Amino acid sequence: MNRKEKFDQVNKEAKAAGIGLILIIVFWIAAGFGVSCLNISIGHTPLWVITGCIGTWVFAILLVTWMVKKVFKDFDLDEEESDE
Amino acid sequence: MNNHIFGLLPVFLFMLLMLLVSLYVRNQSAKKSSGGFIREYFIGSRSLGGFVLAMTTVATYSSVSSFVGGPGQAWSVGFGWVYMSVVQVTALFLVLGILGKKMAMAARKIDAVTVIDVIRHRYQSNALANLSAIIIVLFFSATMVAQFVGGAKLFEAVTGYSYMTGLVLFGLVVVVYTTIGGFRGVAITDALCAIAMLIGMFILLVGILKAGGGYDAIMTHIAQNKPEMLTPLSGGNMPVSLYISQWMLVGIFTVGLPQSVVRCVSYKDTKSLHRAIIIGTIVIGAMNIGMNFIGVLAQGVLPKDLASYGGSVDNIMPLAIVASLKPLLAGLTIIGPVAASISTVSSLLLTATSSIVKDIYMYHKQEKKEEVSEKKTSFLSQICTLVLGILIFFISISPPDVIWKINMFAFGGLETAFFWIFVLGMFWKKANKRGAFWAMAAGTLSYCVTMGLGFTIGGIHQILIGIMVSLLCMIIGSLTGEKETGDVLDVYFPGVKTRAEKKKK
Repeated sequence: MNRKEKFDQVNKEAKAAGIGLILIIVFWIAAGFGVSCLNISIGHTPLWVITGCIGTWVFAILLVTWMVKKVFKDFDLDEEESDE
Repeated sequence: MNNHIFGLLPVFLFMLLMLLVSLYVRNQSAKKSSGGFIREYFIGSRSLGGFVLAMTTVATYSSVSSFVGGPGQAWSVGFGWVYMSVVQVTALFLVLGILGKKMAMAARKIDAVTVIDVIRHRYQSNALANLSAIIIVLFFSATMVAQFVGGAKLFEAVTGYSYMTGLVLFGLVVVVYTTIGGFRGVAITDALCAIAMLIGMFILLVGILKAGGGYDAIMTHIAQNKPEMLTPLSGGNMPVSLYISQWMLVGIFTVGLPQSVVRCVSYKDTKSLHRAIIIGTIVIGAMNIGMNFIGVLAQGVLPKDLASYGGSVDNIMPLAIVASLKPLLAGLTIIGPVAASISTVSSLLLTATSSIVKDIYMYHKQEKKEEVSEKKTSFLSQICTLVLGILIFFISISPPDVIWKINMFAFGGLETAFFWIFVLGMFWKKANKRGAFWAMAAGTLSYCVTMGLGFTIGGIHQILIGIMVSLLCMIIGSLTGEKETGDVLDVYFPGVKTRAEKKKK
């Protein structure tokens, strides 16, 4: 990758992080506030607590793992001579 | 528990370990160091691997309130608080994912050591750099005092030893080991602190479940006596405006916190960054969900109303620890909050020192074309860390009111001051000197003023006002002011220069 391509890649990654944020917010609302409307409990724990808290956490982990593996790319952070 | 030696011993041994690790790191890096003292001392010669990068960022970010104030609130309002704390899972991937690589590449190109180096270069403004340094030193100092006080109070409440004993035990030691170890020492001790926090949390969880008669018994108690704790809005205790505020304050805008951003210029390679994003998201989520969940479960140990526990939610966690754990286990558990406190202090102390030594003093010398010897910078950096740390220590013995006021403004103030400076600086070519200066000055000022007056828009935290004002100033200032030169912009937006030249032709 030359310098320009690296920066294009970085912009793409930043955009992905922004989209990731939006997805997490949407998931968080649906899994917490949304599920709480259903009034379901599992054992003694309300379902929204499980989906909204632990669910959002797991969703975030899966999402960033996917992002890092599929969108983010490895390259040398220092400038290579061939860049110019 | 009163003056039980078991209360003292674990923290004492832990602090000793921190000290030894710092000494070891210092010796090791003295052997390998090649990049000059300043770069080694303030950013560890850009050598952090993924695990340490993740842990040090999380540990710095998690403060004593993640262990005391937060779970105390969770005890009071219920699962809504846990649900709200989950927003922090975004903190790590946002700062590392958005700013991580671009800051790293720019910092390498211009040989930046501090975040202010980058700000100074990007906006070509010494006034902005000086303002940044002042904001950092002021807000960081107040935050450090608050961390010391929080940790020492907890120590006193749990072990029965005096406030001063606690403060000396971990306050003085953290100052010493930060001075000795520099950034590399801070990063590695931070990683150990993060592990200690997780262990402390786990012990406490088991202890509280046992003391409360098991998970089912505690949940039944809550369902019968305080059913609102099982709803997200907690019968009005957790309004939607609070959720929105927290999304901004501890979620999205944490991207601007200089103590996190400095991590972006200190890691080794992209692999480390990628690993840190995943590990960091796992750990920060576990810690926040875990601690606040424990806070809710503390209902099983402390079932009465708040007034019976001294009227402050800050008392809840110390009382819960004492009520549910034997002295030795309690002593082990408080390593968690102590670790949270010292890992925040160590990073803030070092960043504040770098602002004073590198961004103000050395830059001043450079301007005057005066040579500063390696020996002198080495001495100055360490002595400055020590003196500032000891000053913070003394202020913490009996902090004046003004420190609490500054501390109240610190977190959001730092976010307001730096968020757009970093984000737009890295991703908007037109962002310039005028816009940045206005954004930082007016944003921080409007945040502090509205905060002081208690003025809000729709009950949403003043961070909203600060960030909006800052954004407006940045846009107007940048559109009316002069664009930075092609040479400067080329560092952040490759191709800008050649395109501009082509246009001229």
